[in-house]
Amino acid sequence: MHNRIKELRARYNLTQDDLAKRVSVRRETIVFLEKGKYNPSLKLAYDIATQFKSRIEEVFIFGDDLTGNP
Amino acid sequence: MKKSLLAFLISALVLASASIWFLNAEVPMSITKILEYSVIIILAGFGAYFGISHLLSKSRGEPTEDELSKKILQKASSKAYYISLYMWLVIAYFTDKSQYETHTIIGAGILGMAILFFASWVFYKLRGMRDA
Repeated sequence: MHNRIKELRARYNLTQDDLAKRVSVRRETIVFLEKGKYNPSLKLAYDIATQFKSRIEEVFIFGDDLTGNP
Repeated sequence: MKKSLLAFLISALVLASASIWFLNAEVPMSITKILEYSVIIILAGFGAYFGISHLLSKSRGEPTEDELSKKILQKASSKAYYISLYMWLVIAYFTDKSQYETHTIIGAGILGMAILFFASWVFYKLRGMRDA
């Protein structure tokens, strides 16, 4: 699974710390997510997607589809 | 906050006591004494690390634990427990052939379990939890 967290953070001008505080996790968790070292729970994925005003599948891309299209 | 401070203080006190005990110990030390000190230092060191980590997290305004830190702890604990079962089997097999006393062997086993847990925790911290 890939994700666009780093790209969306830059678009919304959020630091890793800002995003971590908004979704109530440690900054380390955001670092692991961006590096692809951790797959989040459904709730965390939903919270992150909500922060970016996007759907889960637009932030977290499963399989080989890197466009974010279903 | 109070829990973290308490954990840190207790660990610091245990480490300080162990250090005083170590400094006043007879030289050279027996294997049993070395094992005892090692277990105390590893366990107290863990407690101190988690206490400091929690205090720093609180000062930064972030949660002391979240889903990732809990999962790493759970995975490390279960892996260390699984491996330690085999470790104890090996220890039990070699007990009769060893010249060491029972409490020394048990101390070595406990130290082994502490080291296994620490190694598992570091492994998952570095590798991450993709398949959690």
